[in-house]
Amino acid sequence: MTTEKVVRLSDVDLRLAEEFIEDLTFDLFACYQCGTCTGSCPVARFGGEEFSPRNIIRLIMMGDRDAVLHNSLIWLCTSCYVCEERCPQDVKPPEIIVKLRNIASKEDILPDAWPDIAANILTFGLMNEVGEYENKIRQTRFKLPELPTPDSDTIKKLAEKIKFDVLVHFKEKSGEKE
Amino acid sequence: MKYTLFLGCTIPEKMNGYEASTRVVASELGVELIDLPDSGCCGSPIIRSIDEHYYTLLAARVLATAENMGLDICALCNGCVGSLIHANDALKKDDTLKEYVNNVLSDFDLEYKGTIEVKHFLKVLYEDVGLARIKEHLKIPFKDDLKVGAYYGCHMLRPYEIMHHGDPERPVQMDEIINMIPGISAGDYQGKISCCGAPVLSVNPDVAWRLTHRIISTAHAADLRALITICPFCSLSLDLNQIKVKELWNLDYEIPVLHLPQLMGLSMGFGVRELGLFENRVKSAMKFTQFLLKSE
Repeated sequence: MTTEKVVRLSDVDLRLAEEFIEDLTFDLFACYQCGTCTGSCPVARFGGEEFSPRNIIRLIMMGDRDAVLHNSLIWLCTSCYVCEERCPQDVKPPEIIVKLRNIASKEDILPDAWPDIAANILTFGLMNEVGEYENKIRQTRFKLPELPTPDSDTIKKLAEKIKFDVLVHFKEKSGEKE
Repeated sequence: MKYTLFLGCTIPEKMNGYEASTRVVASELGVELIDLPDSGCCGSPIIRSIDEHYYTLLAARVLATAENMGLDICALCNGCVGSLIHANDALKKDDTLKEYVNNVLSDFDLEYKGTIEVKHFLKVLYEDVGLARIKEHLKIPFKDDLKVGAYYGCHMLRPYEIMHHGDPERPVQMDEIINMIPGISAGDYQGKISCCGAPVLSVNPDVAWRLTHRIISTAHAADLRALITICPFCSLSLDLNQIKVKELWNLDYEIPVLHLPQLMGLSMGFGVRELGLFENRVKSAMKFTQFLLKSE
């Protein structure tokens, strides 16, 4: 991410913030850029990537929609919430990042593996299949009871009802037809 | 003490030892766990990142199913606990969201009422069973003074304002339980509250492995003989992915990783098979049985 950039006041565009600011339970603009979040962030400190919650918040305040959304970095937050615990202004970077990711997913920007994870949930009711084989292992190796069958039907219908299946291109991916 | 047990996705697929040891330890302590019927996704942090509405519906479906049983949920995965508690909290505070959710759920004969709580098994142990009662059951001592590291994982503790489970920076609950086991003590290490990396495995595995390495290496630097986990994703990072980390950083050591109920179960007299210890990926976990002082 280019962190050094001249932003003209006339170019500051707050529309990105306005897209989700009403849904926040805290004041995003209370952030005074102290950097406690980035200093506490395990990804920033040990992850080996230039990830910074402080920069993400600054870019929102500067209205640089493109730099925020079309950037791999918003996907590196592990939601460990250490930054949220330590923020002296009660800003919650993980909640901001959830909002940004929700906006990005509507624009078809998602980590490559995620639509498949979502497709598994719509197919099996879980992130992975626990079927006959897994149940056999459970019973024979671990003497565990059979797993109650996931209600994958309801889980899929809930998705269809709010068009989550369309959002993650479920039908195209699984090749299902109406 | 009776709860409905919510397993989520990762435990029944690849952490059977965690489930098996939890069931025997719970039963030993008089905690009744009734399987939640119609299991399924908790809502999942990944789904929440894609679409908060669908996440809330999935979590509310699980909560409503448990409400119909009239039982609080006991979950073993930090991800599930975080998902379900976040949604439960949001739905209790936000009537508009609750109305939206119930409007959709009504087609499936489900209604979220907000009548139950969600607890991690650690919370059940610490707050409901209590240290005194746990101590009575931890009878078989370990030979040496073995120092191990409690690894809580993030979503068990944070954010505190929603989780309400001890100090989010200096947690003690698991440490105190471990210290009840004769011959074992819990030691501190720098990576204790640092993220295990699991949430970014599907985004950028290099970042995830670096975070895992931080925990393994600081546990080693503190002379810990094992890491003790309470979440399948932490266990996946620290135990299953330790092989990868060992290779990438050329480590000449390994740290066995046990699920908390496995360690407790050994001191309760349960064996390797009952506790599923043979499943743990770093095989020196099995050696923990050799440290037990067997009664004559």
